[in-house]
Amino acid sequence: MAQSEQTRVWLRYWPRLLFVLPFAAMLWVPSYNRIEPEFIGIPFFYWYQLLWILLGAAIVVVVYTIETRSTRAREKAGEIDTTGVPGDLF
Amino acid sequence: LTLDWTATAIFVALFAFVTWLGFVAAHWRKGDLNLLHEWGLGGRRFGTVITWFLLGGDLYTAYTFIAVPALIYGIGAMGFFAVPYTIMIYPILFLIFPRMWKIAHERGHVTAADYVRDRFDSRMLALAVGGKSGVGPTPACFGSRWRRWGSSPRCLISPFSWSAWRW
Repeated sequence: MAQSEQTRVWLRYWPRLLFVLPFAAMLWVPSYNRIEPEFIGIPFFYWYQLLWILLGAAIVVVVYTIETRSTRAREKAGEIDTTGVPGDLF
Repeated sequence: LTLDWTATAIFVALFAFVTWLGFVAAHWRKGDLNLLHEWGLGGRRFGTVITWFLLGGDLYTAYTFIAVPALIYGIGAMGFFAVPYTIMIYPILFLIFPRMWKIAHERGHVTAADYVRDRFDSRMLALAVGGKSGVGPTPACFGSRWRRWGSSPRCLISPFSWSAWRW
């Protein structure tokens, strides 16, 4: 089945749209500029931002995993060569 | 003045460990330090784990431990800009750095100034980038040390970053 170039780019890079989430959440300051609900005595303003550190990292992991899988699949199919591309341990 | 034995013991133990680690690391996968890419980039042999620690060392600097807490102490929650900033900068780096890594690897760049000089064929722009990477940390340096040491002379040394020297 022939895919157009646009479809290929979309299939390959759509996970990157997830990166809109941390930007939207962090730039929308009025949404978290409040004290309640507190978490173990910490005002919402503080723990919400600290929570987004973890969520932001998780989103990067998700995007990385999806992209790496598709890259490996394409490499197996002989479409691309990833020799010398970063990702080796140590 | 009483000596805090717990704090002293932890400090001495960590100091000894880091010193020992430094001497061990000096012999680990030794390279020719007369070559700039060996001295500056570890011979381009660092992989994911080592790079992860290096990025951690980049992020958790005196800026994180002294300047930002001092700012929050001084003006309050406004200093929390550093947290959203860090959250947003990582996706940007995730998109840009692998591509930049590949180009720098292929063309043999060591610093950002090298990349700019090659990409835009401009020595002046490369000098500006190298100079910026040297001058950039200076205000944070002064800011964090202002109260303790006044205008610390060490902050004036930082503009002479070696990255500008290759111009």
